[in-house]
Order: sequence, then C-alpha cells, then structure tokens
Amino acid sequence: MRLIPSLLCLLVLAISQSIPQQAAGAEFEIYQSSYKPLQLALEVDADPSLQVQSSLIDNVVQNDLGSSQSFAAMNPLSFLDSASESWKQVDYGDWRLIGADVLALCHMTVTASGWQIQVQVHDPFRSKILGSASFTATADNLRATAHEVSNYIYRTVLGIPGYFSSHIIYVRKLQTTSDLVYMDQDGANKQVVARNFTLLLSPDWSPDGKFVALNTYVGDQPRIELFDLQSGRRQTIADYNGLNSTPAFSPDGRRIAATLSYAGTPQIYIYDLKTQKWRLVTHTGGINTSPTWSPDGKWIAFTTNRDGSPQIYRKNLETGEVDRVSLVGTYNTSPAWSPKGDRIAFISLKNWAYAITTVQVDGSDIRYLATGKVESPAWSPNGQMLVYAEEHQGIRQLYRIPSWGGHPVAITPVNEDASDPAWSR
Amino acid sequence: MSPSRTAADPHADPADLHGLDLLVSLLVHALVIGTIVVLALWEVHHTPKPLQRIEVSMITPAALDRMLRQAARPQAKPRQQARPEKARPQPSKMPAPTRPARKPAKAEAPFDPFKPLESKQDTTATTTRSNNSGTLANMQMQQLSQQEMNRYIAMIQASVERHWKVPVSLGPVKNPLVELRLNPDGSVASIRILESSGNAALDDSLGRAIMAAAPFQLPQKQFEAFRDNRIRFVPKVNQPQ
Repeated sequence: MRLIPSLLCLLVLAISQSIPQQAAGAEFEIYQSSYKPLQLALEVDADPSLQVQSSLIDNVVQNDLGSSQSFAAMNPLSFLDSASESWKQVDYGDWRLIGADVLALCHMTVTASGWQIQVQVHDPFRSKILGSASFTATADNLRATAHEVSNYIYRTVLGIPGYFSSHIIYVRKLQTTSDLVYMDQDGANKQVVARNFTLLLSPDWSPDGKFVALNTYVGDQPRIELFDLQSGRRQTIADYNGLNSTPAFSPDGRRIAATLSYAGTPQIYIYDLKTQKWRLVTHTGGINTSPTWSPDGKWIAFTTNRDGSPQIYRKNLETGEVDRVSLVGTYNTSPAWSPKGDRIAFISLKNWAYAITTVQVDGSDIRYLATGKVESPAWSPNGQMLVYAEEHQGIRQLYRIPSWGGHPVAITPVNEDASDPAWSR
Repeated sequence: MSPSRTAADPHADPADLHGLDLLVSLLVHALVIGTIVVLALWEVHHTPKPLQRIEVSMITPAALDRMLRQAARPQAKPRQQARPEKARPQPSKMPAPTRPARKPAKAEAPFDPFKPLESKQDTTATTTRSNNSGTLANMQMQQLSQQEMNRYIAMIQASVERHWKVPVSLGPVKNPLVELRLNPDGSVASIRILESSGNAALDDSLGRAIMAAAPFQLPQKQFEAFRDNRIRFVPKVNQPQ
C-alpha cells in the first residue's frame, strides 16, 4: 500500500517534466495578408482671403497622395478639429478616434513675393511629429509647389522619394498622324511636343529630363531622333536601312541602346552620344529588340526569339554573361527594368490574355498585375508605380497601377488613343 | 379498546376495523399537515441571506508581489511556436473559470505546479521557494489550456494584422521582432523593436498597427501569460509565394 503515494509522485513528476516551460508572455507571428493604404487626414490652414490658393494645395496634395494608393485621403467631414485649431495644438486623441494614420497639416501665409507653406506631418497613433518643412510658392509655380509638398509628406511617412514632380510623355494617335504629348504625372499641364508624324513609337526620357529619344516615321522612313524639349531642336541619330527602333537612354545619360536591322536581323546596338558611334551588343540569329538598362548601367534586358518564342533575356555589358529572365510562358515582350533595380516588368501572354508581369531579375517571384490588351509598361522614378497602355475597342488609354498590386486607374481620357508612355526619371 | 389492526385480534369486528382505518388516516393527515406547517414556519424564521459575492483568487496579492519579485527575469526561454490557425471565428467566451482553492498548503511543501493554489482568505500560505523562477507565469500558463491561449493569441493576431498597413513595395527586409508589454486592462504598456527590419518606415508601421489595434481582450485571471509578448512580423515580400 505504501507503493501508491510514491507511484503518484512519479506520475506527477513525469507530467510536470513533459510540459514545456514558458516565459511570462506569448510568442507568435503576424503575417501581412495584403497591402493597405494609410488613412491620411490633410488640413490646410489659411486666411479666408487665400481660399483659392489653399484649396488648390489641398486638392493637388490629396490627389497626388491618393493616386499613389499608398494613402487614402479621409473625408474632411469626419475631422473633429479644424485646421486652425490643429495648427495651434494637435490633439492626437481626436485623430486616433477617426482612425487617421497620418495627419498632414499645412499652414499658408502671404509673403512679399507669393506664399509660404509650412507643413507638419504627424503620426497620431504613436503621438509624435514625423517632420516639418517650409516651402515658398509664387503664382507661377503654386501647383509645382503642391507636388513638392506631396513629395515631402510621402517621403516623411514612407521613407522613399515621391514621384509627384515627375512627367509623362506619350504618343497620341489621330486618324493618320501621331503627336507626342507631355504632361505632369497627374495628367495636368498637357502640351503637344511634336505633331503630324506618320507614326511615333517608344519614346524614352534622358535622365536629366531635357531630351526625349524616340522612333519617328516621316513618310515611311523610320529614324531614331533626339528631341530637345527646351529648344525644340531635333537630331537624327540613326536612319539606316530597315528598322531603327526602341531607343533607351542609359542611366548615366551618355549612351542610347536601340534596335537596328541594317545588317540583317534586328540586333541591339549602343550609341555613344560623345563619340557618335554605334556598337553591336547582341549577335545571335533571330530577333533581338526593345532594350532596357539596369539602374547601375551594367546590364541590358531585351526581348529575343533565340529560343523560338519571344522571351526576356539580360546581358552583362562587361562580362558578356547572358541569362534568361522570363521563365514562364511562350510570349514575353517589352521589358522595363525597375529604377530600384530589383525587378523587371514586361508583357506576358497568360491564359489567352496579356498581363503586366513583374519578376525579380533572376526570373523568380513572378507577379501578375493587370490583364487585358495591355502593352508597353514603364516605371515611376521611385519604382512604386507602373504606367501602361490598355486597348478597349480600338482605343488605347494609359493606366497606372502600384507595383505591389492595387487597382489600375486611367490617366488619359477615353476619347483619345494614347500609347507608348514614358515616365521621366 | 386499542385501535390496532394486529394479528393478535383476528376476530375483531370488521366494522370496528373501518373505524381504525379512519383514525390512522386522520393521524397521517395531521402528521403531514403538521410537518408542512412546521417547515413553513421554519422557512419564515430562516429567510435566506442575500447572495454573497465570494471572490476566489488564485493567489493573494501579497504572494503575487512576492512571487513576482522572486521570478525576476526568466532565463533563456525556448521559443514557443504558438501559431494557431488564423483567426477562426469563435464565439466569445468568458475566460476559463478559476478553480476554487481548497486546503492551505503546508508551509514547507516543495513546489508542485499542480497543487491547489492558495485562496485570498488564506493568509497562512507564506513561503514560496526562491528557486522557482518564472513560476507565476508558468503556473498560469499551465492552468490556461493551450487552446484558450491560442484563442487569445488569434484575437491579437487578427486585430493587429487588420491594422498593419504596408502601403508600398518593400525592398529586401528582415522579419522584425517586437516586444509588446501589456497592462492587465489590455492596453499597451510599451512597444520595443527588438530586431529591426532594416526599413525605418516598416518598423514604424508595427507600432502604429499595435496602437491602433489596442486595447486587446485578455483573460483577466491569467493575464500574466500575456504580460510580455514577442511578435514576429512577416511582411509579404518574405512570404513564400
């Protein structure tokens, strides 16, 4: 009978050993399930006499940050504090209550030459100010200053530069002619840069934003030309027999890669703007076309049909190493190397529809962003957005989509055939 | 004459028997009625006391304080992989019922995680051995079943995830580790980034998510199990496709 208590003791001991010891708290993981925009509360405090100017700032900044889809502008009707109250003293509790992740306060005052805009960016949930800055504006550049305010808020919150001061050029196709159109990234300030060409194709910006290289057709003669956006001067850099197409500026702005076919099949060549000489880069059978540079200038990605179907390859300009980038599917064209360098976007045929696709430079981690009759993707300067053309019933429109997903938003009107977008760097 | 129906008087008059039956029945009725009356009076005299709220706590505040001091910092802890299925919707229950304490433990008893805990009223419980480091949390963890634990963890996971906003494509980042200290009411005592992701904006988003998700629902009695938590955040770029 004395055995029983000792057996019981043994049992208790065994059980207590088998239970894992744990510290004073739980340990667990949280997995991001989706990308979500930050709720942005924007208030502009200004004298009532500055109504026009302050609401312009308000609208432009709200539209900029909202269109990035990294922010969702909140309805001012939900705000508990007025702009002037908040500018004097921010009550973080009031902003937490309505769920504002970011509070951006602008204060506008009149100066001798124009206006001063002071900006504060607050984080209500962590009860701290993230940064403050001051901008000056004149009547000429109020809109440009508003874009700078957007850039400031974007950078302060997200730690990456904004793209709101950048520009987009694209080709507008009319009945029988094509125009080159220049606009701000938000679609404002549209200007026709060149008109009445038979055809215009694949424009590309120089890194300093002063030149555009593009494939022009005058009559039926294709050329690669440089347009000086300031002076309007045109300079032909290639008018050989056959194709002269798809120019792409190198990141240092000294060279232009393009496709020429005077020697037979279309091949990639590089033009040195200093020596004014073309140099052959690819020399395989079959077609090699539409080059795009890596941001470090060491690689070129391009489309080639050397394996029988169009695929994306990249070539190291120093070592000559060649790797295949597109690993899936039988049709992949129009590569565009991200300015961040980590991904390459292109058009792929997926399940009988074309898709804007991005992969890492080694071809892994494939992501499909938008499907339809999509073509010619181009990156925003910070690598967060893509602009591309999509056709509906014979008319192409330009769309933008965040590189992480999000939803496509048209930036050109439905009654205009717009294609071949290029985003300034 | 005795009104009894016994075998001793087998030849009694049957008519007399009827009289006896009546008497017995009357007596029984009287007894029953009498009992009821007495019981009723008894009830009147012993009106029930108003319901008393008896709080049963597992540990006296004094003992709690003492044990906390003894517990100091827990030693290197094995990483507990508590990763339940994501936020399965479950009916909200009250925290697990606490067991009432029974006997006071002997003063010199060696530590046994399964012994009944001292009640509030029991002030005789005195010493806990100093080598029982981290005992408070351990005991409570063991009392809170793993399933219950996972349920509370799932609720925290779901609400923080809902408020965790990553609004841009991230470059290469590490999975940040956050220390989250909670107050008994579920509010946040402190947030500390133990391991940075390498991206300041991403690190900022973690604190914002936790603050937006707070306060959290916690088991009141077993709060210790959630005092000092560690959360590993896994951004989408680091998740296998």
